[in-house]
Amino acid sequence: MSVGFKDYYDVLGVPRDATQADIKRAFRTLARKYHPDVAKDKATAEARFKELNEANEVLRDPETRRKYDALGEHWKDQERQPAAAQGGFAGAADGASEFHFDGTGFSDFYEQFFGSRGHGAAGWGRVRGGGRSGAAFARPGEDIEGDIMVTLDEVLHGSKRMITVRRVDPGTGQSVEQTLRVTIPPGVREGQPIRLAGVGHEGTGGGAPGHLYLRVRFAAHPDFRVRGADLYFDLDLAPWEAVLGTTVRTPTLDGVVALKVPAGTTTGRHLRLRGQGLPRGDGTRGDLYAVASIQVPHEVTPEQKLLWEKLATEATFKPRHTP
Amino acid sequence: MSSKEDPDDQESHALELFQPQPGVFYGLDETTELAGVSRRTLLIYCRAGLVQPVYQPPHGAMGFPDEAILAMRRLERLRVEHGLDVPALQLMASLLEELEHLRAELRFWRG
Repeated sequence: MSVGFKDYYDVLGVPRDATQADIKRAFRTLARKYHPDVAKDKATAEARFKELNEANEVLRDPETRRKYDALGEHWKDQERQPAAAQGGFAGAADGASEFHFDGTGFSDFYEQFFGSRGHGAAGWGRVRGGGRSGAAFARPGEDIEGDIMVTLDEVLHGSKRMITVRRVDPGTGQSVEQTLRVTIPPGVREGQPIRLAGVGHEGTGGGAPGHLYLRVRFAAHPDFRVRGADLYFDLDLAPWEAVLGTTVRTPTLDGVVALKVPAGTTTGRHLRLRGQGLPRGDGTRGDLYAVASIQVPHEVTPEQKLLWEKLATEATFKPRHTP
Repeated sequence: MSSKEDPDDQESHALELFQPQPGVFYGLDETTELAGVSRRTLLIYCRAGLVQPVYQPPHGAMGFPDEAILAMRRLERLRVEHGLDVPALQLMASLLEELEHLRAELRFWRG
Protein backbone atom coordinates (compact mmCIF):
# COMPACT_ATOMS: atom_id res chain seq x y z
CA MET A 1 0.00 0.00 0.00
CA SER A 2 1.46 3.32 -0.97
CA VAL A 3 0.61 6.64 0.58
CA GLY A 4 0.03 9.93 -1.18
CA PHE A 5 2.40 12.84 -0.76
CA LYS A 6 1.03 15.67 1.36
CA ASP A 7 1.83 19.23 0.37
CA TYR A 8 2.11 20.84 3.79
CA TYR A 9 3.15 24.21 2.37
CA ASP A 10 -0.04 24.25 0.37
CA VAL A 11 -2.08 23.34 3.46
CA LEU A 12 -0.68 26.34 5.35
CA GLY A 13 -0.76 28.55 2.25
CA VAL A 14 2.89 29.55 2.49
CA PRO A 15 5.66 29.44 -0.14
CA ARG A 16 8.39 26.81 0.12
CA ASP A 17 10.94 29.41 1.18
CA ALA A 18 8.75 30.80 3.97
CA THR A 19 10.57 31.65 7.19
CA GLN A 20 9.77 29.81 10.43
CA ALA A 21 8.02 32.98 11.61
CA ASP A 22 5.84 33.01 8.47
CA ILE A 23 4.86 29.40 9.10
CA LYS A 24 3.99 30.12 12.72
CA ARG A 25 1.91 33.13 11.74
CA ALA A 26 0.09 31.26 8.97
CA PHE A 27 -0.71 28.40 11.30
CA ARG A 28 -2.02 30.66 14.05
CA THR A 29 -4.22 32.63 11.68
CA LEU A 30 -5.72 29.56 10.03
CA ALA A 31 -5.97 27.55 13.25
CA ARG A 32 -7.93 30.36 14.85
CA LYS A 33 -10.27 30.40 11.86
CA TYR A 34 -10.82 26.63 11.76
CA HIS A 35 -10.64 25.87 15.46
CA PRO A 36 -13.51 23.42 16.11
CA ASP A 37 -14.62 25.47 19.11
CA VAL A 38 -15.26 28.60 17.09
CA ALA A 39 -16.11 27.46 13.57
CA LYS A 40 -19.74 27.14 12.48
CA ASP A 41 -19.40 24.03 10.35
CA LYS A 42 -17.83 21.90 13.06
CA ALA A 43 -17.14 18.70 11.12
CA THR A 44 -15.42 20.35 8.15
CA ALA A 45 -13.55 22.74 10.39
CA GLU A 46 -12.26 19.94 12.55
CA ALA A 47 -10.87 18.01 9.59
CA ARG A 48 -9.22 21.18 8.34
CA PHE A 49 -7.89 22.03 11.82
CA LYS A 50 -6.28 18.62 12.13
CA GLU A 51 -4.77 18.93 8.67
CA LEU A 52 -3.33 22.33 9.63
CA ASN A 53 -1.93 20.86 12.81
CA GLU A 54 -0.27 18.01 10.97
CA ALA A 55 1.35 20.43 8.53
CA ASN A 56 2.46 22.67 11.38
CA GLU A 57 3.83 19.72 13.31
CA VAL A 58 6.18 18.92 10.45
CA LEU A 59 7.07 22.40 9.23
CA ARG A 60 7.53 24.23 12.52
CA ASP A 61 10.60 22.20 13.40
CA PRO A 62 13.47 23.08 11.02
CA GLU A 63 14.78 19.54 11.31
CA THR A 64 11.60 17.73 10.35
CA ARG A 65 11.02 20.43 7.74
CA ARG A 66 14.38 19.59 6.13
CA LYS A 67 13.49 15.93 6.16
CA TYR A 68 10.15 16.73 4.56
CA ASP A 69 11.76 18.89 1.86
CA ALA A 70 14.19 16.11 1.02
CA LEU A 71 11.34 13.65 0.93
CA GLY A 72 9.46 15.88 -1.52
CA GLU A 73 12.40 16.05 -3.87
CA HIS A 74 12.78 12.31 -3.92
CA TRP A 75 9.12 11.46 -3.95
CA LYS A 76 8.93 10.91 -7.71
CA ASP A 77 11.98 8.64 -7.74
CA GLN A 78 10.67 6.82 -4.75
CA GLU A 79 7.44 5.94 -6.45
CA ARG A 80 9.47 4.37 -9.23
CA GLN A 81 11.73 2.34 -6.97
CA PRO A 82 10.25 2.44 -3.50
CA ALA A 83 12.55 -0.03 -1.78
CA ALA A 84 15.76 1.75 -2.69
CA ALA A 85 14.58 5.24 -1.98
CA GLN A 86 12.91 4.46 1.30
CA GLY A 87 16.14 3.22 2.78
CA GLY A 88 17.11 6.79 3.53
CA PHE A 89 14.09 7.40 5.68
CA ALA A 90 13.93 5.70 8.98
CA GLY A 91 10.20 6.17 9.13
CA ALA A 92 9.37 4.08 6.13
CA ALA A 93 9.61 0.83 8.01
CA ASP A 94 8.18 -1.92 5.86
CA GLY A 95 6.31 -3.70 8.60
CA ALA A 96 4.56 -0.58 9.75
CA SER A 97 3.14 0.25 6.33
CA GLU A 98 0.94 -2.82 6.50
CA PHE A 99 -1.17 -0.90 8.97
CA HIS A 100 -3.28 2.13 8.16
CA PHE A 101 -5.32 4.17 10.56
CA ASP A 102 -8.25 6.48 10.01
CA GLY A 103 -9.69 8.83 12.55
CA THR A 104 -6.53 9.46 14.55
CA GLY A 105 -6.22 12.94 13.06
CA PHE A 106 -2.95 12.07 11.35
CA SER A 107 -2.64 10.92 7.75
CA ASP A 108 -0.91 7.72 6.66
CA PHE A 109 1.75 9.91 5.13
CA TYR A 110 2.48 11.54 8.48
CA GLU A 111 2.41 8.25 10.34
CA GLN A 112 4.91 6.67 8.00
CA PHE A 113 7.47 9.44 7.97
CA PHE A 114 6.96 11.67 11.00
CA GLY A 115 4.81 9.88 13.57
CA SER A 116 5.74 7.62 16.46
CA ARG A 117 6.84 5.05 13.92
CA GLY A 118 8.76 7.70 12.02
CA HIS A 119 10.71 8.60 15.13
CA GLY A 120 12.44 5.29 14.94
CA ALA A 121 10.00 3.52 17.19
CA ALA A 122 9.46 1.08 14.34
CA GLY A 123 12.68 -0.53 15.43
CA TRP A 124 11.18 -1.39 18.79
CA GLY A 125 9.07 -4.26 17.81
CA ARG A 126 10.73 -5.37 14.61
CA VAL A 127 11.80 -8.92 14.42
CA ARG A 128 15.03 -9.15 12.53
CA GLY A 129 14.80 -11.17 9.34
CA GLY A 130 11.16 -11.97 9.90
CA GLY A 131 11.78 -13.77 13.16
CA ARG A 132 13.89 -16.71 14.10
CA SER A 133 13.15 -19.66 11.92
CA GLY A 134 11.32 -22.72 13.10
CA ALA A 135 9.32 -20.94 15.74
CA ALA A 136 8.40 -24.02 17.71
CA PHE A 137 7.50 -21.96 20.73
CA ALA A 138 4.69 -19.46 21.04
CA ARG A 139 5.72 -15.90 20.52
CA PRO A 140 3.47 -12.90 21.10
CA GLY A 141 2.80 -10.60 18.16
CA GLU A 142 4.52 -7.26 17.79
CA ASP A 143 2.95 -4.09 19.07
CA ILE A 144 1.99 -1.36 16.65
CA GLU A 145 2.43 2.26 17.61
CA GLY A 146 0.63 5.22 16.18
CA ASP A 147 -0.28 8.75 17.13
CA ILE A 148 -3.66 10.20 17.94
CA MET A 149 -4.24 13.93 17.72
CA VAL A 150 -6.19 15.28 20.65
CA THR A 151 -7.38 18.87 20.91
CA LEU A 152 -7.13 20.71 24.22
CA ASP A 153 -10.91 20.80 24.32
CA GLU A 154 -10.93 17.00 24.21
CA VAL A 155 -8.37 16.94 27.02
CA LEU A 156 -10.70 19.11 29.06
CA HIS A 157 -13.95 17.29 28.38
CA GLY A 158 -12.87 13.91 27.09
CA SER A 159 -14.25 12.51 23.85
CA LYS A 160 -15.16 9.43 21.91
CA ARG A 161 -13.34 8.68 18.70
CA MET A 162 -13.86 6.15 15.96
CA ILE A 163 -10.59 4.68 14.77
CA THR A 164 -10.44 2.47 11.71
CA VAL A 165 -7.51 0.11 11.38
CA ARG A 166 -6.90 -1.39 7.97
CA ARG A 167 -4.36 -4.12 7.57
CA VAL A 168 -3.37 -6.91 5.28
CA ASP A 169 -4.10 -10.33 6.68
CA PRO A 170 -0.79 -12.20 6.32
CA GLY A 171 -2.64 -15.48 5.80
CA THR A 172 -5.04 -14.53 3.04
CA GLY A 173 -3.40 -11.35 1.72
CA GLN A 174 -6.77 -9.66 2.04
CA SER A 175 -7.31 -6.22 3.45
CA VAL A 176 -9.11 -6.36 6.78
CA GLU A 177 -10.84 -3.37 8.32
CA GLN A 178 -11.56 -3.03 11.99
CA THR A 179 -13.44 -0.14 13.53
CA LEU A 180 -12.70 0.69 17.12
CA ARG A 181 -14.37 3.09 19.41
CA VAL A 182 -11.86 4.73 21.67
CA THR A 183 -12.73 6.83 24.67
CA ILE A 184 -10.32 9.67 25.31
CA PRO A 185 -10.57 10.29 29.04
CA PRO A 186 -10.54 13.86 30.33
CA GLY A 187 -7.12 14.77 31.69
CA VAL A 188 -5.25 12.60 29.21
CA ARG A 189 -1.56 13.55 29.07
CA GLU A 190 0.70 14.35 26.14
CA GLY A 191 2.57 11.19 25.18
CA GLN A 192 0.24 8.94 27.16
CA PRO A 193 -0.22 5.62 25.40
CA ILE A 194 -3.75 4.39 24.85
CA ARG A 195 -3.65 0.65 24.63
CA LEU A 196 -5.95 -1.14 22.23
CA ALA A 197 -5.51 -4.73 23.30
CA GLY A 198 -5.01 -7.39 20.67
CA VAL A 199 -5.03 -5.06 17.66
CA GLY A 200 -1.29 -5.47 16.88
CA HIS A 201 0.43 -8.10 14.79
CA GLU A 202 -0.67 -11.71 15.07
CA GLY A 203 1.41 -13.90 17.34
CA THR A 204 3.13 -17.01 16.07
CA GLY A 205 2.84 -20.53 17.37
CA GLY A 206 -0.30 -19.67 19.28
CA GLY A 207 1.19 -16.55 20.87
CA ALA A 208 -1.13 -13.71 21.82
CA PRO A 209 -1.53 -10.85 19.32
CA GLY A 210 0.30 -7.61 20.07
CA HIS A 211 -1.36 -4.40 21.13
CA LEU A 212 -1.92 -1.18 19.27
CA TYR A 213 -0.62 1.78 21.22
CA LEU A 214 -1.91 5.17 20.22
CA ARG A 215 0.26 7.90 21.62
CA VAL A 216 -1.60 11.05 22.57
CA ARG A 217 -0.32 14.10 20.71
CA PHE A 218 -1.87 17.42 21.64
CA ALA A 219 -2.98 19.50 18.72
CA ALA A 220 -1.25 22.89 18.79
CA HIS A 221 -3.64 25.56 20.00
CA PRO A 222 -3.51 29.00 18.37
CA ASP A 223 -3.46 30.70 21.78
CA PHE A 224 -2.01 28.33 24.33
CA ARG A 225 1.20 26.44 24.88
CA VAL A 226 1.17 23.44 27.18
CA ARG A 227 3.57 22.36 29.88
CA GLY A 228 2.30 19.53 32.03
CA ALA A 229 -1.20 20.53 33.09
CA ASP A 230 -0.43 24.24 32.85
CA LEU A 231 -1.27 26.47 29.91
CA TYR A 232 0.72 29.50 28.82
CA PHE A 233 -0.69 32.40 26.91
CA ASP A 234 1.43 35.18 25.45
CA LEU A 235 -0.14 38.41 26.60
CA ASP A 236 0.93 41.28 24.38
CA LEU A 237 0.80 44.66 26.13
CA ALA A 238 1.36 48.23 25.01
CA PRO A 239 4.11 50.02 26.99
CA TRP A 240 1.59 52.32 28.70
CA GLU A 241 -0.62 49.35 29.65
CA ALA A 242 2.38 47.68 31.27
CA VAL A 243 3.32 50.83 33.16
CA LEU A 244 -0.13 51.97 34.21
CA GLY A 245 -1.85 48.62 34.59
CA THR A 246 -5.06 47.63 32.85
CA THR A 247 -7.74 44.99 32.58
CA VAL A 248 -7.64 42.81 29.46
CA ARG A 249 -9.97 40.21 28.08
CA THR A 250 -8.05 36.92 28.03
CA PRO A 251 -9.09 33.67 26.37
CA THR A 252 -9.28 30.52 28.48
CA LEU A 253 -10.47 27.05 27.49
CA ASP A 254 -13.78 27.82 29.19
CA GLY A 255 -14.33 31.23 27.64
CA VAL A 256 -13.07 34.76 27.91
CA VAL A 257 -12.23 36.19 31.32
CA ALA A 258 -11.17 39.65 32.48
CA LEU A 259 -7.58 39.65 33.66
CA LYS A 260 -6.21 42.45 35.79
CA VAL A 261 -2.73 43.49 34.75
CA PRO A 262 -1.07 45.28 37.67
CA ALA A 263 0.79 48.56 37.14
CA GLY A 264 4.50 48.08 36.50
CA THR A 265 4.23 44.71 34.73
CA THR A 266 7.44 43.81 32.92
CA THR A 267 7.98 41.46 30.01
CA GLY A 268 8.07 37.86 31.17
CA ARG A 269 5.89 38.40 34.24
CA HIS A 270 3.55 35.46 34.77
CA LEU A 271 0.00 36.34 35.69
CA ARG A 272 -1.72 33.27 37.04
CA LEU A 273 -5.30 32.27 36.47
CA ARG A 274 -5.65 29.50 39.00
CA GLY A 275 -7.43 26.33 37.92
CA GLN A 276 -7.81 27.41 34.28
CA GLY A 277 -5.33 24.85 32.96
CA LEU A 278 -5.84 21.25 31.89
CA PRO A 279 -7.35 18.60 34.13
CA ARG A 280 -4.82 16.46 35.97
CA GLY A 281 -6.88 13.31 36.20
CA ASP A 282 -7.20 13.55 39.97
CA GLY A 283 -10.02 16.06 39.80
CA THR A 284 -7.82 19.15 40.02
CA ARG A 285 -6.77 21.40 37.17
CA GLY A 286 -3.53 23.11 36.29
CA ASP A 287 -3.19 26.86 35.98
CA LEU A 288 -3.23 29.24 33.07
CA TYR A 289 -0.36 31.70 32.95
CA ALA A 290 -0.59 34.88 30.93
CA VAL A 291 3.01 35.80 30.16
CA ALA A 292 3.41 39.53 29.65
CA SER A 293 5.19 40.61 26.51
CA ILE A 294 5.58 44.33 25.90
CA GLN A 295 5.13 45.33 22.27
CA VAL A 296 6.10 48.68 20.79
CA PRO A 297 4.31 50.49 17.99
CA HIS A 298 5.97 50.12 14.58
CA GLU A 299 5.05 53.62 13.51
CA VAL A 300 4.59 56.81 15.45
CA THR A 301 3.08 60.06 14.22
CA PRO A 302 5.09 63.27 14.72
CA GLU A 303 2.77 64.25 17.59
CA GLN A 304 3.26 60.90 19.32
CA LYS A 305 6.99 61.18 18.82
CA LEU A 306 6.96 64.47 20.69
CA LEU A 307 5.15 62.80 23.58
CA TRP A 308 7.69 59.97 23.73
CA GLU A 309 10.51 62.52 23.64
CA LYS A 310 8.91 64.42 26.49
CA LEU A 311 8.67 61.18 28.45
CA ALA A 312 12.30 60.36 27.66
CA THR A 313 13.56 63.66 29.07
CA GLU A 314 11.35 63.55 32.16
CA ALA A 315 11.77 59.89 33.07
CA THR A 316 14.34 58.93 35.70
CA PHE A 317 14.07 55.24 34.95
CA LYS A 318 17.34 53.51 34.04
CA PRO A 319 16.81 50.04 32.56
CA ARG A 320 20.52 49.04 32.65
CA HIS A 321 23.85 49.77 34.28
CA THR A 322 25.99 51.93 32.09
CA PRO A 323 29.70 51.23 32.51
CA MET B 1 -10.35 11.75 8.36
CA SER B 2 -13.55 11.46 10.28
CA SER B 3 -12.90 11.64 13.95
CA LYS B 4 -15.60 12.20 16.47
CA GLU B 5 -18.51 12.95 14.20
CA ASP B 6 -21.54 10.99 15.34
CA PRO B 7 -19.71 8.18 17.07
CA ASP B 8 -23.04 6.81 18.22
CA ASP B 9 -24.36 6.32 14.69
CA GLN B 10 -21.43 4.14 13.85
CA GLU B 11 -21.43 2.24 17.08
CA SER B 12 -23.05 -0.82 15.56
CA HIS B 13 -20.06 -1.19 13.21
CA ALA B 14 -17.55 -0.84 15.97
CA LEU B 15 -16.09 -4.18 16.78
CA GLU B 16 -14.54 -3.34 20.08
CA LEU B 17 -14.83 -0.58 22.57
CA PHE B 18 -11.89 0.73 24.47
CA GLN B 19 -12.30 2.66 27.66
CA PRO B 20 -8.87 3.50 28.98
CA GLN B 21 -9.16 4.98 32.42
CA PRO B 22 -6.95 7.80 33.51
CA GLY B 23 -4.58 7.02 36.32
CA VAL B 24 -5.34 3.30 36.41
CA PHE B 25 -2.69 1.03 37.91
CA TYR B 26 -2.35 -2.66 37.29
CA GLY B 27 -1.46 -5.13 40.01
CA LEU B 28 1.46 -7.51 39.82
CA ASP B 29 -0.32 -10.38 38.07
CA GLU B 30 -2.07 -8.15 35.57
CA THR B 31 1.18 -6.36 34.85
CA THR B 32 3.19 -9.49 34.15
CA GLU B 33 0.43 -10.73 31.86
CA LEU B 34 -0.05 -7.45 29.97
CA ALA B 35 3.66 -6.78 29.64
CA GLY B 36 4.47 -10.37 28.76
CA VAL B 37 7.26 -10.65 31.32
CA SER B 38 7.89 -13.06 34.16
CA ARG B 39 7.80 -11.91 37.77
CA ARG B 40 11.53 -12.37 37.95
CA THR B 41 12.13 -10.14 34.92
CA LEU B 42 9.75 -7.57 36.34
CA LEU B 43 11.80 -7.53 39.52
CA ILE B 44 15.03 -7.12 37.54
CA TYR B 45 13.57 -4.22 35.58
CA CYS B 46 12.41 -2.58 38.79
CA ARG B 47 15.76 -3.01 40.51
CA ALA B 48 17.55 -1.61 37.47
CA GLY B 49 15.27 1.42 37.65
CA LEU B 50 13.88 0.72 34.18
CA VAL B 51 10.33 0.90 35.46
CA GLN B 52 9.02 2.42 38.65
CA PRO B 53 6.16 0.83 40.51
CA VAL B 54 3.62 3.08 42.15
CA TYR B 55 2.75 2.13 45.70
CA GLN B 56 -0.89 2.72 46.37
CA PRO B 57 -1.75 4.24 49.72
CA PRO B 58 -4.11 1.83 51.51
CA HIS B 59 -1.88 -1.24 51.73
CA GLY B 60 1.14 -0.11 49.78
CA ALA B 61 0.42 -2.61 46.98
CA MET B 62 2.61 -2.37 43.89
CA GLY B 63 0.94 -0.98 40.78
CA PHE B 64 2.06 -0.08 37.28
CA PRO B 65 0.51 2.42 34.86
CA ASP B 66 0.02 1.80 31.14
CA GLU B 67 3.23 3.70 30.35
CA ALA B 68 5.21 1.16 32.37
CA ILE B 69 3.49 -1.71 30.56
CA LEU B 70 4.45 -0.24 27.18
CA ALA B 71 7.99 0.43 28.40
CA MET B 72 8.35 -3.16 29.56
CA ARG B 73 7.02 -4.58 26.31
CA ARG B 74 9.62 -2.54 24.44
CA LEU B 75 12.42 -3.52 26.82
CA GLU B 76 11.44 -7.16 26.55
CA ARG B 77 11.61 -7.01 22.74
CA LEU B 78 15.05 -5.41 22.85
CA ARG B 79 16.30 -7.94 25.35
CA VAL B 80 14.85 -11.07 23.79
CA GLU B 81 15.01 -10.24 20.07
CA HIS B 82 18.04 -7.99 19.92
CA GLY B 83 20.05 -9.38 22.81
CA LEU B 84 20.51 -6.16 24.78
CA ASP B 85 21.61 -6.59 28.38
CA VAL B 86 20.42 -4.57 31.36
CA PRO B 87 23.13 -1.84 31.22
CA ALA B 88 22.36 -1.32 27.52
CA LEU B 89 18.65 -1.11 28.29
CA GLN B 90 19.36 1.40 31.05
CA LEU B 91 21.39 3.55 28.70
CA MET B 92 18.74 3.38 26.00
CA ALA B 93 15.92 4.14 28.42
CA SER B 94 17.69 7.15 29.91
CA LEU B 95 18.55 8.53 26.48
CA LEU B 96 15.00 8.13 25.26
CA GLU B 97 13.61 9.74 28.38
CA GLU B 98 15.92 12.70 27.96
CA LEU B 99 15.09 12.94 24.27
CA GLU B 100 11.38 12.97 25.00
CA HIS B 101 11.88 15.63 27.65
CA LEU B 102 14.01 17.85 25.40
CA ARG B 103 11.56 17.43 22.57
CA ALA B 104 8.75 18.62 24.83
CA GLU B 105 10.82 21.63 25.98
CA LEU B 106 11.65 22.51 22.40
CA ARG B 107 8.01 22.32 21.42
CA PHE B 108 7.11 24.57 24.33
CA TRP B 109 9.68 27.24 23.55
CA ARG B 110 9.04 27.22 19.82
CA GLY B 111 5.41 27.89 20.64
